[in-house]
Amino acid sequence: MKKILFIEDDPIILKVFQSRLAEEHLDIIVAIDSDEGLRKAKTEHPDLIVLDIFMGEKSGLDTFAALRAEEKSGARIPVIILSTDDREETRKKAEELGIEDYFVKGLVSLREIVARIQEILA
Amino acid sequence: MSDDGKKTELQYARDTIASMLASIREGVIITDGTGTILAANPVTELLTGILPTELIGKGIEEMMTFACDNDDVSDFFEESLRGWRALELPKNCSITPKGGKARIPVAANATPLFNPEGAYTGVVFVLRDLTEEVNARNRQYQFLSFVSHQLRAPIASLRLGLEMLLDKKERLVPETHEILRDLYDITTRFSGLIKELLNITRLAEGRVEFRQDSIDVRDLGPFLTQEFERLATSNNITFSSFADSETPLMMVGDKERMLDVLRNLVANAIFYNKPRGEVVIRGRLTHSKEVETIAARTGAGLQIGEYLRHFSSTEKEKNMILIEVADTGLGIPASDQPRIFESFFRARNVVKRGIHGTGLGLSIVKSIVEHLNGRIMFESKEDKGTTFYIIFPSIT
Repeated sequence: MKKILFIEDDPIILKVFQSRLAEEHLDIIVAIDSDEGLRKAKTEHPDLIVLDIFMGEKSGLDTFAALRAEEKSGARIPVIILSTDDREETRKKAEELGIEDYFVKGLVSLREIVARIQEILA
Repeated sequence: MSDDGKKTELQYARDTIASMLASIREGVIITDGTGTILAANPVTELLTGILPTELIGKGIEEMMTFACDNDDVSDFFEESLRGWRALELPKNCSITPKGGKARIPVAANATPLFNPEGAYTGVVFVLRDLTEEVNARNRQYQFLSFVSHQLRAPIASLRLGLEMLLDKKERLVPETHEILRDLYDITTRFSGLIKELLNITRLAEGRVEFRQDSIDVRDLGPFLTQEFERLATSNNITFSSFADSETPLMMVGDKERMLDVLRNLVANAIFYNKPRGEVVIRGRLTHSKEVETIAARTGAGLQIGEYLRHFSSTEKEKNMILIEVADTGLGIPASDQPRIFESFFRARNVVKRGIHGTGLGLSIVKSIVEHLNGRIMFESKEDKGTTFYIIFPSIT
């Protein structure tokens, strides 16, 4: 079973994805802050990370950069950003770190995200 | 009246003028016809960092260190000192006082002076410190931006949650499904509103990056067709985008921002249309003469005249790009036409029909077009339709 790590602090979004992705027979691991996210990215070996970069005080982009810095080249975990931050400069920074896709919360449908997740994991 | 009496009267008039100048909150500088400063009131010191007594006898152009983000300042002085007409410094200009570091946002006017024989003798410059106004406006935008961000997260959760529930249609009674569908539509609209609010605050605060690429406007056509064909068809409207534009329409601009402009206009043209209506985007090269004709017809003559003044005569002879977005829709009532580019303004006839919208789209469109060194005009007739005209300098 493929594993997806959600680094996300919004309980409703987590519930929605847990329910929806279970139907796709995907295993969801949850981290509700950056530190937990970094730890689980290492210990749980997820096939994909869905990352919110607008959480609390600590910048999600820093978390992301730290994650990429620790990865061995050639063993990069695919990352999808799902965030309320729609600024062009944030998207650019994320793209430089290597992402599969960047979705803005509120402007993307569940269907689109699920389709993209399936595509990446196929 | 004796000679002494006359002197006193003259003295009195002079003193009155001096007191008036000293007590007004604007900086006032009077020059002769060549720009040499003859008089300056005390407020000018706050703006220029130079004592009024030291300003006198100096050339105005050297004493004023304006910085403008959108136009040439020397134009303002050159033109004003010709004494032909009253002028305004372009928007978003600031002045740096001598010895000071911080720029002060200012507005400035120049009015020519004439002697009793009608000969041009000098100019009155009036400078106004806009710091307070700019700060107030920034606070407003910061608040708007903060609120929009705070709203975005819960609305996003709502929307995703509702979408998931709607996907379980077979388990819902029809009434429940219908209500959830309505709620979903509301959250979708709300997300759109937040997006536009954030766009407008960013544009107003100058936080939007504009790329300076060479783009062919016609290349935007396929994107628009892909995005709007379905919507147009479902509203029973024919849509075509740059269908017969054969020559390249090259301009310096930002493709994404240009798409924002056309998306907004096309969406309006579709939503505010009638069944079996038509929406057409046309693009072609034109010249300043035709632009002036359109401007005169659409009541934008003054604004466009001022805009064209900044092009050199060779640039004017060169081509300009004209993009038209025309619909056969509801049109804009004549009384509402002067206000359509204002934020949050919505025309009465579309509100009455219950067509949803934020009233921000056209304000965003205008702001982007002007950032890209273009201008927008329109003509509209209620029940007949609306055509927007956008002009840009061409680099073809």
